[in-house]
Amino acid sequence: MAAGERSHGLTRRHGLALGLSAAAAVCRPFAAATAPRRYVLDPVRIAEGVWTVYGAQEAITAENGGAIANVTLLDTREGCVLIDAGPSHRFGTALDALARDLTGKPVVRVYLTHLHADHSLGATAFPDTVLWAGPGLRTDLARFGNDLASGMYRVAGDWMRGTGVPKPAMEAREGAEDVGGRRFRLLRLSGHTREDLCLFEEASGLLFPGDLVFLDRAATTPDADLPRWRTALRTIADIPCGLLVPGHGPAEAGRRGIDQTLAWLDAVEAGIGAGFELGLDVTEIMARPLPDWADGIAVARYEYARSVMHLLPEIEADRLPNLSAL
Amino acid sequence: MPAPNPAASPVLRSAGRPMPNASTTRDPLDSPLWPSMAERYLGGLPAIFDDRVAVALPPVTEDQTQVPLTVDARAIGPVEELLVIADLNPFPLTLRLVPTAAQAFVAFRMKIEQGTPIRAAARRDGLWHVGGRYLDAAGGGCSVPPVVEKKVDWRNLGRMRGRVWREAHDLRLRLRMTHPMDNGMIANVPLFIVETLTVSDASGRQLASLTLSEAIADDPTLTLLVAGPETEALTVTARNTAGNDFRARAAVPPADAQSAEMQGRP
Repeated sequence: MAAGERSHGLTRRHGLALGLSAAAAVCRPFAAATAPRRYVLDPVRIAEGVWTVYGAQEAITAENGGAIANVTLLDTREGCVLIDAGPSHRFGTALDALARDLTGKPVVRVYLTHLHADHSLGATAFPDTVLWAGPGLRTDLARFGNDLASGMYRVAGDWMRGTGVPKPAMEAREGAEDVGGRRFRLLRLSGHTREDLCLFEEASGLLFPGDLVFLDRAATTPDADLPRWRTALRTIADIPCGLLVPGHGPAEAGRRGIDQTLAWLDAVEAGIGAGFELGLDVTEIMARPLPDWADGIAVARYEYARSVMHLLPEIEADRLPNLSAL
Repeated sequence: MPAPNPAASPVLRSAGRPMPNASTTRDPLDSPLWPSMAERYLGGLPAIFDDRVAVALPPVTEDQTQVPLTVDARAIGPVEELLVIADLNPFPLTLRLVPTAAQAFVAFRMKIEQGTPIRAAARRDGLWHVGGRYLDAAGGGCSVPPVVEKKVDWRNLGRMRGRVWREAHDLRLRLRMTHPMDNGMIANVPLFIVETLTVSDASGRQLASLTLSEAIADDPTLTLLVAGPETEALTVTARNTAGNDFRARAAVPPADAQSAEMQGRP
């Protein structure tokens, strides 16, 4: 699979529906639909001066307002540092208030791990000059950010009001960054998306691999490159961390998230590959069973169905034999 | 697809085959456009809504230029014609399959302009059996130019990839053709699509013929179930709107070779 083959598929997918769940969006009482939306952030202290706001282990819906990804706040002498910013301007505004509540300081840095809307669009609540992103992400936000936001408005609705496209002014580079007594080591990896920023904070031993690691929630593959993703996971596994904070799912010590993400990618790839070898088309492969252990993984069937749409065309382009012309 | 349960629904017998309850003439999808669709495409013949005509759609539409679907009307028995109709698409009649010696089955990918009912209508003995589902989608799969200009592989225009599998009663053909499906709605991109496609056996007997519309996705990718267990190869012919003809041969695996391969699979 050539890297170039992926790029034109990227464009519409992002914008047009990152994980919408139409089924869950209906059957909502009218009163709830018209009530003002407010995110209730419930920070969990995971280390000294560090709190994580856990995302719902769900698809993006008009109920959860896209608040499905984890966001972490770290107190430093200079101010609060955020890892990711949530799905919307409103969420970002709530994070800003939460940072002041928890640390008594303003947000001085927001590190964006990757392009996907549930992690990045809340950054519009902060000044561009505190937003840090890798060069690939800065480019991709400029290119696809509008589609990304449009897709989110469509799926999450009013929650998105006021959300635009973040324009990080600061480039996150590989290496160490000292911020108010904390030391962040930055790694530019890829595989979940074209560029995935992984952060390791030495003072606390916390590791933030973004969506390279999912735990107890199925990994998403709209922009995935599975070989690169596996390589990135091996890199992450070698980092001697205390606690791993995945992009989705609980923070844990140990490598359960890494192993589960690897196992999920293997299961998805094997399932789609086996379906291809049987001559099945997209919706037929979607209907095939997953391994039993996937029962314990949130939104497994839904993400598997999405992955079939993402990955089967690549397998076809790669493995369907050329027919001899007559 | 669920088998019809004769105990649960009143079944009339006509011409030796089960008929669904004739009261199912009200559109279960409540589409205001359905009457005009029926008038335009069903040739004045009567139509009933019939769950045995199954349309399988993905749980979410992520890429409106490549929406995968499978239509399976095998439970009706042999049909003369199978249509796929998307009421709210600019080109509602998406595909027409004449399964001369093939099953009433087709899987493919299409473009979607907006959320729409997607129907399949199977004609048997002068009666249309219509099934379908509503597909939710954002706008613009047909008329909005891609953000990044799409790359067309002109050097390989018309190249076909494919493979044939033996199934219990049929040959399963999967086919992917390198060809844009430019529908003429995007400025400065004229109409340029593959219009017809036929599948024949090695003796030249036609097994299935398809008419593809502007709504079929780029690089048409099809799955068909055709007869012809005796043939050693299938011939696929296609013609585009510029009058170019494309022909290719897909070898049919020997019966024993494939079963050995199946057993060898972990």
